[in-house]
Amino acid sequence: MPDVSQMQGLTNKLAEITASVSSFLPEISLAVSIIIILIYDLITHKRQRQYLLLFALVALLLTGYLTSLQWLSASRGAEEFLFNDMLVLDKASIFAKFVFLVAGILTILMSWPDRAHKPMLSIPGEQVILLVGLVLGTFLLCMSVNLLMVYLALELISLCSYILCTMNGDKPGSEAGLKFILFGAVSSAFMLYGMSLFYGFTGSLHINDPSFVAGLETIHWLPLTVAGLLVISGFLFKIAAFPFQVWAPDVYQGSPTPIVAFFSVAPKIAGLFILIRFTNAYSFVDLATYWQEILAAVAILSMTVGNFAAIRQKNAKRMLAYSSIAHGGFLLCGLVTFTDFGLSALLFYAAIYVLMNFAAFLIVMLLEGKTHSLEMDTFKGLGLKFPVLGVLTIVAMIALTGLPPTAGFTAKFLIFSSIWAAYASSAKPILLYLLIFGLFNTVISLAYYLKIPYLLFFKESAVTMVSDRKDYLKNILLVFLIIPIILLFFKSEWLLYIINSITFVFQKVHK
Amino acid sequence: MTAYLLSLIIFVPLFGALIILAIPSAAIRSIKYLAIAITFLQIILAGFIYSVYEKGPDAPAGVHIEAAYQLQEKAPWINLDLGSLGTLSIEYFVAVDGISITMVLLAAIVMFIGAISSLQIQVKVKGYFFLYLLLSGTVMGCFLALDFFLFYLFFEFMLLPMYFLIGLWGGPRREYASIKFFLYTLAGSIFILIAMISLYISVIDPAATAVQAGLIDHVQEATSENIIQLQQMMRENKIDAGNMVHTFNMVSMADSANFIPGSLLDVLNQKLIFGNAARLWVFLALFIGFAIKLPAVPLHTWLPDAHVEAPTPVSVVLAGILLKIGAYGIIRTAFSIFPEGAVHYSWLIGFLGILSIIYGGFNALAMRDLKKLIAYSSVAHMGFVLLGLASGTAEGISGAIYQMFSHGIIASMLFLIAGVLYERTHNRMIEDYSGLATKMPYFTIVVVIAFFASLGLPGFSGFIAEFLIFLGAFNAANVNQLLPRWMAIVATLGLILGAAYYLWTLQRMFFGKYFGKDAAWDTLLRDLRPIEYVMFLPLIILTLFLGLFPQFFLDLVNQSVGQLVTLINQTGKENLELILRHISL
Repeated sequence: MPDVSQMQGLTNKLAEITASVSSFLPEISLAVSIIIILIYDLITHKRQRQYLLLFALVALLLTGYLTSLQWLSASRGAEEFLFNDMLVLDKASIFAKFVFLVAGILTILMSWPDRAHKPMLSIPGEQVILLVGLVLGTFLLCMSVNLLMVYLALELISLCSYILCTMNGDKPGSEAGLKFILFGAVSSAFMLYGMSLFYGFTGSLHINDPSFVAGLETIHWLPLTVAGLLVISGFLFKIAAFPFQVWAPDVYQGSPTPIVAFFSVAPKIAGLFILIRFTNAYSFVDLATYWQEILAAVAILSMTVGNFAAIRQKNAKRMLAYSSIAHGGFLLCGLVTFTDFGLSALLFYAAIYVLMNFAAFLIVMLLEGKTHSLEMDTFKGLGLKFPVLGVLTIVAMIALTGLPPTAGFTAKFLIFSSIWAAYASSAKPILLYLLIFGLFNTVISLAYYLKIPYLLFFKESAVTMVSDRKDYLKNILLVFLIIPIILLFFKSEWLLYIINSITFVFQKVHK
Repeated sequence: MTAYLLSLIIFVPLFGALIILAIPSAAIRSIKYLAIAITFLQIILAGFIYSVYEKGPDAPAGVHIEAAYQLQEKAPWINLDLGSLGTLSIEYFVAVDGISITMVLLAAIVMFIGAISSLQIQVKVKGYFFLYLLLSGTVMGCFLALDFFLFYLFFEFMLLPMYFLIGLWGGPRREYASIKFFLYTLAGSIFILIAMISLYISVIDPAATAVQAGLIDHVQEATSENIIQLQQMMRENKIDAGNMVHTFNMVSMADSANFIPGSLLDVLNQKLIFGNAARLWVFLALFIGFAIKLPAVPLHTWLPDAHVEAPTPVSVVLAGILLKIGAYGIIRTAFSIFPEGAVHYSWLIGFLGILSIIYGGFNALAMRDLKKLIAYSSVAHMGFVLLGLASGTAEGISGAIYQMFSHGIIASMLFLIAGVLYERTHNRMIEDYSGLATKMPYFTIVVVIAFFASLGLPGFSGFIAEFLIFLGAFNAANVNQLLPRWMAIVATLGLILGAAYYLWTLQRMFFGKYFGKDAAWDTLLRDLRPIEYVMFLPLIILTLFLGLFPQFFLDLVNQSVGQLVTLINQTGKENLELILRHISL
């Protein structure tokens, strides 16, 4: 790979762009799929739309194949910067891509029409296209190391999300969409302003560039903090962390369930990734002392606000929305430690969180299919009628709480371990508070996670009109989500072995 | 055969639970008999463990010496690479010593009696016995696990079957009671979790680390010289952090030489957290976590609700075994790993003990519901356990373990008694009955025996237990100054209270002229049925046997208790001196 810092000629830049293309195949495959699906949707009759999902599934599987090729080459130590340092292809980003692909595939499987249910047949083509677009956006965001690229990727995610959340076409959906756009636009504006300040400070947009970091060293801490906070607010919006969580409950309630499951996972993890890249670039300036405190406060407040709000919810999707805000806080804990162990714990948590959260949304979808309602009170007594679904629900909920024997416990265990280890070596009191609040929140969360199994088993069924529709695909999918959740408790090293081989590349090493 | 004895006693019930899942739910009788057969098999296994366990003055006695544990089974389970922190090794490690073997015997007996009592369960039988066997296996696992992670797994997993057993088969307010039980115990286990995390980050497995550091080739080769050499090297910072093997082994944790120098829980560590040493904080975390389970006043409020709402067999298991896990946890983790905490906080532990004794006693006196009365008497009796432990003397700690066993037997009887009445009339109010002795003479004899055993009449196991505890608590002022003498004196008030509420209840419910609130009870209140004799007789024989031949039990625990007492009074005091040098409290 040619060294850009020495050769600035246009031909060299072009040469690098052409060279980068070969490392950009998964993204290209997604982009081409979007075009093909779009054209197919335009020229075919509405009845054939279910093939759209099949197309998208194939596209994601193909992308998965291309991504695994990247993983293999990265395992041989070939981490690289693409397109004139716009993107970085390290093992961490490839891992994240796998997570997003799994989330995308699960979303498609969850939206798969089931024969007995007519309205599902009319899945709009736009939904499929936008979903693939959303996956592309998360792919780009987790690799971005240039502020402009960050902005583009973030907006790609946002624009796809805004439209997706109004897909139901009903009033709550429109309301949610409007709220989403307004909050999103404001936080984007914040972020863009912050980015322009950074450009003013350093004359560079590459956060991994030594000149960027060097430029920051000369800046007074106050403007630096303000600019940093502005930029981070855009990321926190995607993570749905406090104080940018306000949109989440309405959007989750108003959007189609499979899409919500994707929202709650992929953009959140992509947002965390860019936050990791940004703050770790920052920590070179040795300003991490108070960034740690600020982010720890965000984590504590996200956990606490999310959990306390979730307790009062009656609507299952709203409850899961607040629960995902709280999980965002737990994920942030791994970042706040600013240690390798913390990042490993975060990646483990993220991977398990995908499984747990999709399982939870799938359960809500299955229960909704039985009672045609999302109010949790209508779920009464269903566990006794459908014992297998009931037991799977218990496993999913105790995993979300973080109790053994589920991988949810291992994930929380690693996060708490990383906080304690960081505290033991640095003795910063904020880490101790973080730990205490994290533990305290685990107890709080039990109160609402237990509510669904409680209603399923302890209450007599109040509603007699229960649809007895069998949805084999979703039931099987649920079983396949629950098995790894249990298996990865007993053999967590299988996943952690992969995660331990992952490195984040924060700084370009000049040859 | 003996090689896998401990695994068998844990996994046979779990396997049985799976078999029950495969039986069609209509086959109620076969489910019930299978559950009883499996719990009986557990008794046989426990008896077998008892017979192969080496007893006597020279027998290896465990506590803080790994080689002195008997029937050890050890296998690697999870090995995680923590990067710069080294590696983390979680093992499947089970073994018995004099303390845990008593609890295993108790658990096997109570689980069997509980299974017989569960024959009365009529609804959702399959689910009930599935959960019951699950509980039975995890309880055994809790008493046998010596790897903290494994212990924690069993400890937490126990909550789920218990939650559903109370919540699905309980009384009118079962939902409230089961959630309260779950939340309280989870809050407790969060304290234990934080202690566990802080411990494994600070503690290494010397043998495995020696392999990593290249001293030896294989863990099995490690001799005590190797280990001392490695601990010495670690003190001198000659071991690279990346080579350290962090362990959950509770026995390794009990040796302060295995703590990484400079780590927060190192004895020589001078950093304070909120003005107190980290080791003392973690001791408190463990103590509070288990005190909720015990339960000690003021953390006891879940207990009366859970007991009152739980069905009879679940109450029996809860009082007979689950409370003991709290006390066992304190001995196995808090006292053995942080003996200095046992010294430093002996006053607090003793005070909570007498608080539980007095508060539990007065509450029991005021209760109108027989089951609530028994629940509060449990609180008082577990207070005696705390008092005995706090004394740090051989008599006191033996007494505490004796009390754990004895209360397990007696509380089971008491809850069965409440169950006998409730099954007949669905009413447990003391004031609604009178003169039951004339209607149910044999039942009254059983009640008198159980009540007298519980209030500590000589000849019953409760007497020996409380006698030893008082001996220890009074002696502590002379021997090791861990408890002031007034605590023992105040605790004697508990004996008087116990006599008062039991005798008063006897007088109100059983003596005098027959009266039942409802005329229909005349026919309902029949004397004991054969199946009820089957439950009561073994328990009566046991409490009498242990009351008359305490040597039989004490021989089993003496060695281990002796080691624990030395640990507390020597290592504990030395450690405390090191720690307190830096603290001006």
